[in-house]
Amino acid sequence: MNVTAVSIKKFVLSLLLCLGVISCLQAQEFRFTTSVSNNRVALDEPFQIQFMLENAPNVTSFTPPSFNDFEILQGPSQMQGQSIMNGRRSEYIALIYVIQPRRVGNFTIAGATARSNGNVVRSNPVTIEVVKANRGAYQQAPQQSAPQSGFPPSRSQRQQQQDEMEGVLRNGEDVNAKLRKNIFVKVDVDKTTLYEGEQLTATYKLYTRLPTNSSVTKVPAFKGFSAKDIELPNPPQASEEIVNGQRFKVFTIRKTLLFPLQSGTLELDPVEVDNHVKLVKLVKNGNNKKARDPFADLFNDPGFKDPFDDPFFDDFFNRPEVTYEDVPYKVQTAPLKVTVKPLPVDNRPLSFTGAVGKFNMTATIDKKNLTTDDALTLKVVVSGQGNVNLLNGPKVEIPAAFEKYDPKVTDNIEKNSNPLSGSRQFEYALMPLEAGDQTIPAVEFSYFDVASNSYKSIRSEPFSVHVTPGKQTKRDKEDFSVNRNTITSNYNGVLNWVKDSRFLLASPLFYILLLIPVLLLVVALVYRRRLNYQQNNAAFLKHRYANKVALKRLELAARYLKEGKDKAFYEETSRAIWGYLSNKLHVPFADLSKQLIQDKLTRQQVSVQYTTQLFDLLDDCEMALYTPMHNNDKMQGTYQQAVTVISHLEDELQRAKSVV
Amino acid sequence: MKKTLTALCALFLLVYNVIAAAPVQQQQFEKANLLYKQKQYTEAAGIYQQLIDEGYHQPQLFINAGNAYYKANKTGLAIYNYEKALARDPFNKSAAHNLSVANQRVEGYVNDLPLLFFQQWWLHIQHFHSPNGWVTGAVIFFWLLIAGFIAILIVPAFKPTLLRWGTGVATLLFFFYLTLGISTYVTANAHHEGIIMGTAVKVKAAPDQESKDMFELHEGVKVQVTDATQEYCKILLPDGKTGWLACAEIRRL
Repeated sequence: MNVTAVSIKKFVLSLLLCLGVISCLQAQEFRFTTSVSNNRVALDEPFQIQFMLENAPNVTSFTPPSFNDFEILQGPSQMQGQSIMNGRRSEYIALIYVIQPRRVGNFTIAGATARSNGNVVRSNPVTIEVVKANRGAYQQAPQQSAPQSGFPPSRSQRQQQQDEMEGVLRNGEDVNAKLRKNIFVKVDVDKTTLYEGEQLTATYKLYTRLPTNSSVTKVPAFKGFSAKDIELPNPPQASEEIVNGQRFKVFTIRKTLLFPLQSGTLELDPVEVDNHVKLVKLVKNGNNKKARDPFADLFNDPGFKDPFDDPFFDDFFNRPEVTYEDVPYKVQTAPLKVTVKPLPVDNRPLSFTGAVGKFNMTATIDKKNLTTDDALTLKVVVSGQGNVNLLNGPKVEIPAAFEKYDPKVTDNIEKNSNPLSGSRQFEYALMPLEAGDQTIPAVEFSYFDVASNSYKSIRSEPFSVHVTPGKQTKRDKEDFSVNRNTITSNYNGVLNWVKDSRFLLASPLFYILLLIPVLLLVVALVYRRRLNYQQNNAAFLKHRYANKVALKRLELAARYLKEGKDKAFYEETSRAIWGYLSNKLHVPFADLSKQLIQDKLTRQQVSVQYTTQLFDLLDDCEMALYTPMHNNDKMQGTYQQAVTVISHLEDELQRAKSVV
Repeated sequence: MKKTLTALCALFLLVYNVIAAAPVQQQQFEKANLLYKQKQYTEAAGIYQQLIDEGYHQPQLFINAGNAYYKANKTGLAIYNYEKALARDPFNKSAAHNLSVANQRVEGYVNDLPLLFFQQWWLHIQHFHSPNGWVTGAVIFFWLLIAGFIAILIVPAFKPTLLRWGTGVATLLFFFYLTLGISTYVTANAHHEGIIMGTAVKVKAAPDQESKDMFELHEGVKVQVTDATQEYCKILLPDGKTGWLACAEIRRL
């Protein structure tokens, strides 16, 4: 036994050198356990006892208990495993004996002792109940197949125990089938139907029943999602889970909080894990006696051996029946589809910017009184659970009197919170541009509450700010320097306060003013024409005064009539008529004859009635001249007749002229 | 004598009224200038606007109003007032400068083409007199022209060649002044241009709410209005784009 201890010590040292993992051997939950494949065995049934040192640093010696009542069929065989997950390493060393009871009864196998970091540690003792042999039942039990419901529970349990303890590949067993059955990765999601922006927790887990060294080679990209990883403990903590009645060690590879950014059916990418599975192969080969000899170990030191051979298992515990194999095996999760519903459009508030979850909002300003030289900070803090990392700032309606800058965003997200919670702070810097009392309207923030399936809005109070004019030193300078980007200063002089007069062009005055000279011109034209006529046509004048002359002459006749000078009267009357006709008809006095006058008058379309009156009058006058008889009444009648005839003729001639 | 005195009194009263009325506006103007200095731009702009609404259309008033609107971040109104000032006085340097500064704030601003030399000449000629000045001139020359005609008609003996030449020149000048009077009147009363007042206005393909949006115009863009229905106006941009938008969004110059 002493020799064994020495060789183990040697082995462990060389092992550590070979792997170069001394630095990594940290005490991570040290455990030293004894386990048996079956606590109740038949007399001639071989069973397995395993001493497992987990995360033991600096193991310097190992002493197995004495197996007084048992026969060692095989062993000690050593199994060593390590796994690196998420950058943390865990490892174990197991020593396995296959023993067979010698007699029937209850036996207690004491725990093994080991020296780790100079401390002696002891594993737990186990009690074995040995019953009478039941030959035939377990004669050839190594068929490794998935436990089915028909299997006897004891047997399946035993098999499972074996698999868990070591990766034993029995004869004729298919490596791939075994791997497929015992190692797989799986993605767990907490829901498969959700709203846009709602949180989805995806957990990628590695299930294994074999000792394996795994590394993640392909991480999912999460297309269409915003992802936030949850930090996992390092080294990964294994938990146990029973799948299909088999106990698996489960390692969480990745745990991610996902927030869908779009609606539709989204796919979670597979994760790919590269495994290096250490399998123990049972080989039935009893010829090699050398393996039993512990001294031979010295010559089989790894330094002397071909490095490509199994370096230590064969060297130290070179059990002829067992070989070890390092099998690479790649596993992948099945792609998973998630249905993302768009957020409802109905009743969506205007201030909604995509927040989904449960939030609270506070808005504060840092000062209420300030000058135009100062800046004002409007701080909006949104806190709660949901897509905090994706929050958009609430819409802040800043009055035009302020210059607004893009908000400064500060995140305070709780680490590893699930559901994601924390707060996001938006700081708006506002520069008042003008003095006076200003009101910043209330800030409104809306989110979609998945639990109640509705939109909720939070409003702050509006803020009133009093702005006083600042010192303006900077601005004034700018005002005087007229450059491309500042407007010129105001005109401060005195203006001529005259209102716009109406457009003269549209007013009647303009047209009146234009019309007046036109009228004047017309008058001038008329005047000119008349002047021309008067100057150029003397006959016109005679004609014009014909009536007057006639009346004048008749006036004279009237005087004679009063005086009773009948000859003179008749003479004057006939002369007046003849003179009138001569002037009116433009006929020289000498040429006048009754015939001519009649022709002329007819040509002038004077009615026959007046012509006959005229000639009657003329005849009367002639008659009175040559047959003088004083008759005052007749003279009166003749005078009246003469006046009417002349005025009738005048009218007729005027009318005829106007007709022409 | 008595009549002349009454007329003089009336004239004096009229002049006095004008002089007495002015300080009120000047006081308002100075108050607004003070508010502007104290950075109370909105209040200052309100007073300037009130003066403008009362019918005072001095370019300096428009510029000050534009400045106040500009400082109060109301770019559309600022540009509107600068344009108004330029319409009154196209050669006002500070109005042109401030307009170009304000236009820097306009999203999607398209530069107007500069005027060609003869267009500039025309502009110079147009602003040689006020619109009413042109019309008054036309009236005066018409009177002269008519007087010439009358003289020719009535006093033919009076140096006919000189009179004829004088009348001819008066005729030409009359037509020239009349043309310019009409053209300035038309320019002053044409409201074919406008400034967009809405912050972001969708321009549609047809004068109809359902028709599709073609592009978006921002506050302060100057557009030409080429056609209009009750609610919608067809606009033309300097770069040749056309479209329809709600007339309420445009403020006609």
